[in-house]
Amino acid sequence: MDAFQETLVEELGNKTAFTIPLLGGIPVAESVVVSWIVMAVLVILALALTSRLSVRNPGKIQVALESGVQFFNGFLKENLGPHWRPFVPWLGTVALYIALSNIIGIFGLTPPTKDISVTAALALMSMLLIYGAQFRYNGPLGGLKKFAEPMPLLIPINLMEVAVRPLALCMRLFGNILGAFIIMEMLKFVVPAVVPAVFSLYFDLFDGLIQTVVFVFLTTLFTGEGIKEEDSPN
Amino acid sequence: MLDFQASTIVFTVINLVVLYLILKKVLFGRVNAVLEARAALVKQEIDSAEASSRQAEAYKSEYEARLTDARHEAAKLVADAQNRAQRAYEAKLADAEADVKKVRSEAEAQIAAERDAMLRGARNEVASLALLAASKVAQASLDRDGDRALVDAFLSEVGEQA
Repeated sequence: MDAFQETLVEELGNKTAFTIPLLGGIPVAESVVVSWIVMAVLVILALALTSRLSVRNPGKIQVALESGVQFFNGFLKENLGPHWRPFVPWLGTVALYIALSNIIGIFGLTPPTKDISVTAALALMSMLLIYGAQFRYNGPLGGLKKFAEPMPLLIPINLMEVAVRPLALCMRLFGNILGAFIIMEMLKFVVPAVVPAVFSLYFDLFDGLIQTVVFVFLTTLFTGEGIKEEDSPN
Repeated sequence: MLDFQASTIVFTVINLVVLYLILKKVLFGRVNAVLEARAALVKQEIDSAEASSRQAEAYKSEYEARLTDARHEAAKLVADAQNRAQRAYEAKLADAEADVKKVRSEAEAQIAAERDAMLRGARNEVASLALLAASKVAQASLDRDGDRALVDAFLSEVGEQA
């Protein structure tokens, strides 16, 4: 039992892959290295899949790719209103990054989203996006006025949300992935073969994709709240 | 477990921005460009299809108008031809009738002239015969009053008939 405890505690911590010998040593966490792998895979896939796009004769892969992008476009159009277009690349990048990070446990790597610093960075960027968009599309004054909606009484709560929203995003993603990771580690310790593979389908694949959708959906929803015009039909 | 590591946060932000810049160009830029190009293509195809259908409609109505014109023209030509044929026929008929009349009148005139000539010849013949007969009779016995009167009466009778 002691060995089990030890392994678990060791697995829970964030390992440092290596340290850059600059400014007194900058630690590079394992999650950052795995992130680079995730990025490399995404970039290579993107390059390979979009190298021969055809307007007139799309292949099967291109059709699938286009339907995916179109689905995402439609989702953002519905939730962000008329200014949806500039948000597609960022939110799409975040979605792909989180999705591949979450399910990379299947391939034996540690999911970067298990590191709270990574989810904190993601949530920080979401916060910048949400409130940046609110001020970008409403002007400085209109952006401030948005905090008094739907009624001035809610100003304190709306202001608290500036911190609460990213914190919730960060913790939700981190907690889910960490929880799944812990369960999978325990399972692997108790039953090393076959059974973890079955559970991995749920905890790594399903939960990982659900958490991706939740993160991107909430970020989109919050951004939409800040930039949607109330009386606009879109 | 819950230790926020500044270097990881910074690295992750950099990672995300880099990935964003690459995917924006390579993935979303390309795919959305293709989607827009396809939308533009479809719109253009629809426009051109509508234009050609409109043109076809115009051609059709023009063709129909021309066809109607041609039918009218043909009907007119046929009517003209019939008219002309009718006139020519009537003219020919009139000519023929005139010819027939002329020929008949000529023939009648010739017949009349021949009859006159024959009558004249016959009368001369008769007169000379009568004179001969009379001279024969006179040679025989023209010495009597009664005979003379007979000859006169005969001659006048012949003269009346000639």
